[in-house]
Amino acid sequence: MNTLWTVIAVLLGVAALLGTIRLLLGPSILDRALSVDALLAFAVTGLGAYAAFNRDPTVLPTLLVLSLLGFVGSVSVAKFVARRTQEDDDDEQIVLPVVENTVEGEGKKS
Amino acid sequence: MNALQIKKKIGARALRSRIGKVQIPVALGMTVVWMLLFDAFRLRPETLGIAVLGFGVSVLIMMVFPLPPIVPGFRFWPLRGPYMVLYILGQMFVASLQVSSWVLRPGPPKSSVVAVRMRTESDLIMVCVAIATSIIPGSVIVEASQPERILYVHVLGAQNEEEAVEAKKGIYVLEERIARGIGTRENIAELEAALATERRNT
Amino acid sequence: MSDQIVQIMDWAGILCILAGALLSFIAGIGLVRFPDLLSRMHAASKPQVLGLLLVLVGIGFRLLPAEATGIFSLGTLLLVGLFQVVTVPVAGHIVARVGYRTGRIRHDLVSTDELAERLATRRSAPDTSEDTVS
Repeated sequence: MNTLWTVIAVLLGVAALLGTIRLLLGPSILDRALSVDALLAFAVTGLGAYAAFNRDPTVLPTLLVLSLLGFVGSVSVAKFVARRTQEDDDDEQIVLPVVENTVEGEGKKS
Repeated sequence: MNALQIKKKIGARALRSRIGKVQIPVALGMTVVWMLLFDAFRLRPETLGIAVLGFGVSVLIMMVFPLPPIVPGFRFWPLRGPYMVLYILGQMFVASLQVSSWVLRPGPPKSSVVAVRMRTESDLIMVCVAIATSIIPGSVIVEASQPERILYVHVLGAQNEEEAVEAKKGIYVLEERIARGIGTRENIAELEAALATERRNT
Repeated sequence: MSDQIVQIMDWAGILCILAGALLSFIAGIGLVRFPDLLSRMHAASKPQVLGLLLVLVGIGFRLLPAEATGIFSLGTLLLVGLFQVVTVPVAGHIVARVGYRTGRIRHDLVSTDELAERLATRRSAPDTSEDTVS
């Protein structure tokens, strides 16, 4: 059984390394956001493996936080990219209603 | 657009109409999530307090951030519903293996973007199909056109026209399972009408 | 609970976690190998949902015998799974949409693209309103 735990740790470690490689290589910021997302998933798996190995439920709330953090991170990065590309090249006719909706919504609120 | 109009109306009216916006089933669901967060399903002295506080917080949230109601509603079919969940889980396993094989195969994988027109009118079912296709590996929603009810799905590994059509069929089957699992009677009737016309055409 | 059942549950749990770790590993390879953003998203979405669910089941198997300590809660595991299943599609859709629209897709690797046809017809007839695709 111990060898299996070691295999799990090694697999997760290599996966995290590969994710970091994509994080460093990633041609665009979206690729980086995606690899951060994947890294968070690996971290959740790793923390889960830790909890299971030690039979220790104290890290479970951390899983909760991480699963929500990945969402907020990638969504905010994607919205930032959408806004910036719209400002940069309006002539390319990239229609991005994601951004338009937010602006409208903010206008309604204020 | 509908949501915005509803929002505008609410802004014009006073607090009283906001209380009317509170949907009790949704508030109860949020209370359950709140209780799960505080681990309140184990019997202990503060369980009742957590439940009451959770209900209060959910009502407050729904008054501050009102949402339009789920228009056609849904019903959970006791046999078809669990079958739907099992089907999605099974598809997740199968698709994971497929994506893994694409990862381990040499050469870059080809892919397709297919347009899938929903056969039911319900927004809820469209959202559920979108969630299901997203959590099944190998398919990602690129674009969703709500007024026309078209989902544009990027499918990994669909190399040619036939495989793209296959992928489209898979999503249609998914929609059928979901509509039969949690759709209202009207949704299922719509689906069956669409299926009948398809059969006549082929 | 008898020792034998605990042992079986331990093995089931460790196998689930091993499967989750394997999915993570393959996703890592896919992240590095795949040529464009959208195919990388397919690779990354695997451990995010299925891998996570497997790991949660594994934790459940491992922790269930330790429930006598009284601090373990199945509810937290349920909630993690629920949040992940609800949030991953939303994030994935937004990233995919922005990625597609900003041209982060290798069009030479796409065999049929019905969205591009659709956008092309819309561009040639610009008087159709902008928020039909929304």
